[in-house]
Amino acid sequence: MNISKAILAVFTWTVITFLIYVPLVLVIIFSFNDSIYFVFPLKGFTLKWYVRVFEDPLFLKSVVNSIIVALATTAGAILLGVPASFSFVRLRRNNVFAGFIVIPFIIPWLVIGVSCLIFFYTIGIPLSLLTVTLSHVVYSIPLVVLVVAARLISLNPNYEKASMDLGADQIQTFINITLPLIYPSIAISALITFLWSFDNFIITFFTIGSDITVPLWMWGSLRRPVNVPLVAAASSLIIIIGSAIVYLIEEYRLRKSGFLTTLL
Amino acid sequence: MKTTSLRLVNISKLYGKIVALQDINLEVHRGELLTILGPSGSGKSTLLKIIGGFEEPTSGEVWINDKLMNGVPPYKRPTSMVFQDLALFPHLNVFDNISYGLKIRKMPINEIKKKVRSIAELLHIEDILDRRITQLSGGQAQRVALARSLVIEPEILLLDEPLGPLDLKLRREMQLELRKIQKNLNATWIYVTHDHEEAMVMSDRIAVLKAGRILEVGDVKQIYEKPKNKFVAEFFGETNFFECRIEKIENGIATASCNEIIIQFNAFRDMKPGDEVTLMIRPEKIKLLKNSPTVNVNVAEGYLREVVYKGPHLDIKIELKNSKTMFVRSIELPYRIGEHVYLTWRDEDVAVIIE
Repeated sequence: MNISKAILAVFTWTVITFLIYVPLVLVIIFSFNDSIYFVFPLKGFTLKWYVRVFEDPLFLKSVVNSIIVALATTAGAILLGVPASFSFVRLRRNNVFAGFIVIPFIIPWLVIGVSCLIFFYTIGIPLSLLTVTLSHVVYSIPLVVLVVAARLISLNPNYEKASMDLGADQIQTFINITLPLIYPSIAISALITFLWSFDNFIITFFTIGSDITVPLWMWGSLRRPVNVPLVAAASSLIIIIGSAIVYLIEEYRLRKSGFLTTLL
Repeated sequence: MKTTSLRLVNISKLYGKIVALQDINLEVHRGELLTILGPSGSGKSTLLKIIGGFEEPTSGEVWINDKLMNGVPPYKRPTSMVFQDLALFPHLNVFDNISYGLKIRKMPINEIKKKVRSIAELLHIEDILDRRITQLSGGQAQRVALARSLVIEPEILLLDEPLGPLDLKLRREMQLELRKIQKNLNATWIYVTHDHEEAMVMSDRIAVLKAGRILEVGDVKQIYEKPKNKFVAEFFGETNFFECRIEKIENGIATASCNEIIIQFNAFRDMKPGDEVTLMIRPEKIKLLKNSPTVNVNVAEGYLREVVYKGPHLDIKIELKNSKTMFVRSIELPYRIGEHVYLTWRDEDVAVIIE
């Protein structure tokens, strides 16, 4: 191995270790620490923060709410975003307005949250999980469109032509050819949308009214020092469950490697 | 009597103001292999797409089996296309690719298996039916694409330069094999290529396309040896043209003077003395002689200027006395560069160029 490769390897591992893993590992360590302060030396092992998290009815409610919002957001973003990507790619609407689809990415979340709040207030929709979901969908559609459209653009149009040539009408062609070929891009944009919606705090904060989601539960807990370790425990749960999901997905991807990677 | 599979009537295709095809009239008989030959950009792929239903003509009619096909989508046409890039479905294996059209037709699975097997045997791919598309070699992919189209038994098979990416040796083999399959099935095939040798190997008839127009249609021998169009004559390789004036016509033989050379050839009915004509003689029809022949018609003389060794033959350039150049193709050459030689040819090897 030459020097430049060695430097690159060291750099990569440093970045991954210090910027990503160390903070996560610290959170997990302190979630088992028998103290409300996040300082070394550790005071002793305990599971009481986890017990208190699960005893908190608000936490359980927030998890359920977050899952409902994330699922509904994902469904909404896919149902609107996938057809939108088709219209962008297939109708060749490649004018300057096509670029405006990414505007929700450029505008700060705070602004999206506030403008959604004003919008719902103006047209008189009471704030609830529904308004949270609608606001999340607004932000998620561009993501779905970008990922799915990128795949559609690179999709050889002759696959669909060959299918029609062999006797399949548009619907049969979509189900048998188009959908299987673009499905990995839909799956990935759905996954990112779900995780983003589950984690979102700012837009949720402005549009939720009196209800609660996981990030809002954490925010509430952080404001009382005695509850701060509960946040560490809840965060650890999310980190561990999230890591397990990523691991399973990667397992699956590597097992079917040749195929999925060529499609993506 | 020949049955007509395809009839194109006055087909034109415009993209905005760009004319892709103009006044195409063409008939293809059942069991015939017709090649559409033309340089890139001549509109040959567009014509194929119009027959297959992927493009609608701006004007004109497409008739298949005496049924008007205008406005009929590809999935309702009795045609099937082998695409230039083959377009094998990458998420399906070989068997699922070949059986696609049959499954769409909801054929019982046992019958599908039987049909796929028999077409796979015909194309010698029965051992690779469970392979992924990405695991196929270029030649195997060709065969799978062909099988996928043939298995649905189309009235007309359309092939869009399918042998393009193969290496020369494999391509030559595939040309002969495809031709054999087509003859065995007695099927109607329309083949698109820009390669005049491929066109000659494969076809019953060739239609030469240039800038959206059919210049000439004819059987292989006729279009090579007796083309009526100058572009067509040149498309099949370097050749010799003569600008001539007809001096006399006797017993169906015309005598023309062409810049100090006198050429005799079989006259057309409506020719008369005084007409200006362009004549063409293929390089391999010309013989080189050391001594002056006894006659003075169909003879030219000049100096040997250039020899290019091509393997099976030699390409020779002769500078005539009037400083024009003639191309000669010969298997051997007993003369040296700079030597004075005579050139002769037969009446029947002279083609009359009309356009």
